[in-house]
Amino acid sequence: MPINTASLVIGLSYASLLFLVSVGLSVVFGLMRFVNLATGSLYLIGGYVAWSVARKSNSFLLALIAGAAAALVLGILIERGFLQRLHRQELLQVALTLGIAYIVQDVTRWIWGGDPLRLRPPAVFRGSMELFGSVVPTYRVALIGIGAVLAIAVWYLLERTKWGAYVRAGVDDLEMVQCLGINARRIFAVVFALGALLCGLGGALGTPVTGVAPGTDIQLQLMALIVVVLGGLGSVAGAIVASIVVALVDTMVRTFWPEASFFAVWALAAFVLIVRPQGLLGRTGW
Amino acid sequence: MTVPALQLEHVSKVIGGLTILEDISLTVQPGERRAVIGPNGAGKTTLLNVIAGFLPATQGRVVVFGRDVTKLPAHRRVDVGLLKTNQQPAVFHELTTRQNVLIALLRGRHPLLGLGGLVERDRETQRRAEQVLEEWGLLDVADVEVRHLPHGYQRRVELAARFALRPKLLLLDEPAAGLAVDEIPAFIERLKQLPRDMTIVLVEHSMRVVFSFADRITVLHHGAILADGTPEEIQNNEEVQAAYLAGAMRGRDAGAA
Amino acid sequence: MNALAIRRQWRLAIVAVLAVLLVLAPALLPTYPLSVLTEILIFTLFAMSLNILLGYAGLPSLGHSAFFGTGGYAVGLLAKYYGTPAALALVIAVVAGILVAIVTGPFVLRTHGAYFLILTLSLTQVLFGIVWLWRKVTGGDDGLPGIPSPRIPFLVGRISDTANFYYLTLIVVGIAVAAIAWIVRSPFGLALVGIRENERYLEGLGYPTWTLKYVAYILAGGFAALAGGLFAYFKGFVGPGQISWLLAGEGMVMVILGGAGTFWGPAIGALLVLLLRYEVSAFTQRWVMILGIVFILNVLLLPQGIVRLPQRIREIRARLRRETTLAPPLAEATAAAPDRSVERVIERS
Repeated sequence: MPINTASLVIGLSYASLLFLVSVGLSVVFGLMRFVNLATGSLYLIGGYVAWSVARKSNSFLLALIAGAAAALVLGILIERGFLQRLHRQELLQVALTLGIAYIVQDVTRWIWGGDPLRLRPPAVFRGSMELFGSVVPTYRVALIGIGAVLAIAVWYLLERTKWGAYVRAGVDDLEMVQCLGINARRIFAVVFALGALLCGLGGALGTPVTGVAPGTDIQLQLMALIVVVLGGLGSVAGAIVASIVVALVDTMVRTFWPEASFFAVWALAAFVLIVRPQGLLGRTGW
Repeated sequence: MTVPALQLEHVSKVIGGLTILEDISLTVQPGERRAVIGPNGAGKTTLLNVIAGFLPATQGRVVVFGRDVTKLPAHRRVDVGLLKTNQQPAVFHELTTRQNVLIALLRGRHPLLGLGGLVERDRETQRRAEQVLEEWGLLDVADVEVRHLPHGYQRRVELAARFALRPKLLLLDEPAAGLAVDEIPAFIERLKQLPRDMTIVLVEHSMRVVFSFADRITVLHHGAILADGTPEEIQNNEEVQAAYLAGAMRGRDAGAA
Repeated sequence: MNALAIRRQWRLAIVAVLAVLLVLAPALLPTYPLSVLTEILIFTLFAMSLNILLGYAGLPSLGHSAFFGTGGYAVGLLAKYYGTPAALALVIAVVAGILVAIVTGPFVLRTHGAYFLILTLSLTQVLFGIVWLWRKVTGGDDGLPGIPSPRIPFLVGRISDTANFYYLTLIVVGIAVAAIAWIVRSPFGLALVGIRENERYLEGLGYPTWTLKYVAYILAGGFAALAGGLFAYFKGFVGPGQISWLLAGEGMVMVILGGAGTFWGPAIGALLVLLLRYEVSAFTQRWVMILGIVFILNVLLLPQGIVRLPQRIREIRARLRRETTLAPPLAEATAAAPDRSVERVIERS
C-alpha cells in the first residue's frame, strides 16, 4: 500500500491534535522547567464537556467553546492552586500533576462512564470529499486547516509579538528576564492558561476522531511528552515539526504493521534521542 | 629553571561562532599570585573554566606543572593539584557543612569509586573533617545544611573543601564577590597568609583585593591579553587605563588602589 | 549531638522491632495478607533500587520497569526452557538486568532531566514492543505462565507454601536491602548526592561523575532485575505488564511519596501504594481518586515524603514552642554565627 492522500490526511489531522496538546506543555516546560502530567486530563475534560454540551445544545461551536473553557478553568485551578508553590521541584510536580490526573480520570469516569464517547462533526464537515483523487473524510481535512491556523497563530504570538519575545527570553534565561523587571510569574500563568485552553480545544476537536474514554488522557499525555521532547523543550517550531513526524509515523505504522503501532513512536523517540540527546530542534546545554 | 605552575600556549575558545578567548599565552611561576582582570565580558571566567577543564579549549595547550592537561576532563585535572572556586560558591546546598568537607576529603581515598566502607565508619576521614571544620571556624555550623548559611559562610565552606584537597594551583573566581565591604580587609589578609607553595590565579573585580594581593596582573580585553606585568606597570600602563582601569577605578574603590 | 544519638537508638529499636515482626509475620497473618506482604517486600526492593537513581543521583528514570521485566523474563525463560533452579535463575536475572544497563547506560546518560525521563521511557517501551511481538519466545501478550514457585527445602512440610515463599523473599530482599544500605552510605552514595545537587561542582572536586552515574545505573538495574525475578516467581507468571511503563511510574510514585533520597522512604511508599491498591479498592470503587488525593496531600503537606513525618511534627511543635519561648538552638547558631565576624574566624584559620 503506497503512501496515499488518505493516510496523509489522517496523519496530518492527528498531528493537529498533537500540536494543540503539546505546545502548551512545551512552552511551559521551557519557561519554568515545569512538568505537567495532567496535560492529557485537560484534553479529556475538553472532550467530555464538549460532548455533553453538543448533546444538550446541538451546537458544535458551542461545544468547542465549552470544552476549551472547561480546560481553561481546570488549568487555572491547577496553576493557581498548586503549581505556583512547586517552582523548580520537578519530582513534586510529577507527583502532584499525576495525582490530579488520577482524580480527573476517576471523576470523569464517574460522570460519563467507562465507554468511549464520540461526537458527530458539525453538519458542514460530515461525510467525505475528494482530494487529489482520493476520497477523504471532510472533518479530517477541516482539522488540518484548523490545526494549521492555530499553529500559525501561536507561532506569530510567540515569535512576532513583544509579549512572545518576553516568553522566549524567559525560555532562554529566566533570571535575565526577571532582572529586566518583567513579571515572569504572570507570563508563566498566562502561558499555562493558554496551553490549557489549547488542550481543551484539542480535546473538543478530537472527540469526533479519537473519541473520549478513560485512557484517552494517558495516550495523549504520552504522545505529547514524545512530541515535546523530540521537538526540543520550549520550541514552538519544534512542536510543530515533531507533531507532524510523530503523527505520520504513527499513522503509517498503523496501516502497515498494526501490531507494532503502539511502540513504533517510542522506537522513533529512542532513536532520535540517542542520535540527538537534545531533541530535533532543541539546543544543547539542557 | 623551575617548571612553571601554569602555561597557556595560544589558547582560543570559540562558542557558537563567537570568539571568547583569542590566542592567550601566559606563564605563571610556582608560588606566584596572578590576578586576571578586565571589564565584564572580557572572558575571565571562561579562561578559568578552560584552565580547569570545564570548557574544552578550541585551540592551544594548557600545561600544568609541566603536564599537558589540554585533553583531560576536569576531574582528572584535580589529580595534578588544580582546583577552582566558583563565583557562586560551589557547595552542595542540601548537604551539611560537614558532608561538604567529607565529600572533598573522601575523593580518591577509596578504590572502586568509594564503593567500599561506610562514611561514618571511616574514623580517619571523620577526624580530618573535624580538623578542617575547626580550622575554618565551621564547627558551630557543622551539621547545618549549607543552604541555611549566609553567603560568606558558604564561601568559607567552599574554600575549606578545596583546601582539604591540598591544591597546588588554585583558581579563584571572584572570591570577594558577595562579601560585605567590612569583610574584605580580613579576606585579603587570609589570602595573603596562604602558603607560598601554592600557586594562585585570581579573577577579581575588587581592585583593592587585586592590587594588595597580586604579584603580577594580566589584563584581558575582548578575549585577548591587553597587558601583563607587575601591579605598578599595570597601574601606569596608559593603554590599560584607557581601556579599563580608569573607568573601573572611578566606579569602584579607587582609593585603595 | 546527644539528641542525634538518642534518635539513632530509637531508629535502631524500630528497625529491630520491624525485623522481628517480619520474621514472625507468617505466624500472625492469614494467607492472603501474607501474600500481600510478600508483594510489598518485592516492591520495596524495586522502589529502593529506583531510589538509587531518582533519589540519590537525581536521575529521573521512567523506564525502571525495563530491568524489572528483564529479571522476570530471565526467570520465566529459564524456568520454561531449561528448568533452571531458582537460586541460579535469580543470579542470571541480576546479570541480565546488569547487562541491559551496561548496554543502554551510555545512551541514556547522554541526556539530562526531561530528556532522560523520555529516553528511559522510550527504551522501555521498545523492550515492551520486542517482548510483545516476539511471540515464539516470549509468548507475546500471553506471557509465560506456569513458573514453578521455589521453596526453601528444609522448611517444606513444616509451614505453608505461602509462608515458605515469604521467607525466601524476606531473605533475598533483606540481603539486597542491606547491600543497598551499604552502597548509599558509602562514599559512593555521598558522591551520588553530590551529583544530584550539582554534577559540575562534584567534578570540580575530582570525581569522575559520568562513571559514578553509570555504575549507579548498573547497580539500580541489577537490583530491579532481582525484584522482577522474585515477582515472576511470586506470580508464577511473567508478561509484558511487568515491563510496562505503568509499573515504572508506580515505582516513581512510591519513591516520591515515601521520600526520594531517603533510605526508608521507598519502603514506606511501596507499603502505602500497595495497601491503597488492595485495601481501599476492597471497599470503594473510587480508590483511584483516593490515590490521587493522597498524592496531592502528600506533596502539599509532606513534600519530602512520608518518611519525614516525625521530623515534620517536630518542626511544627518547635515552631509552636518558639512562639512562646526561646528560638531553637539551630536558628541561634546560624543567626549568631555571622556576628562573630567572618574576620576573626578567618584570621584564626
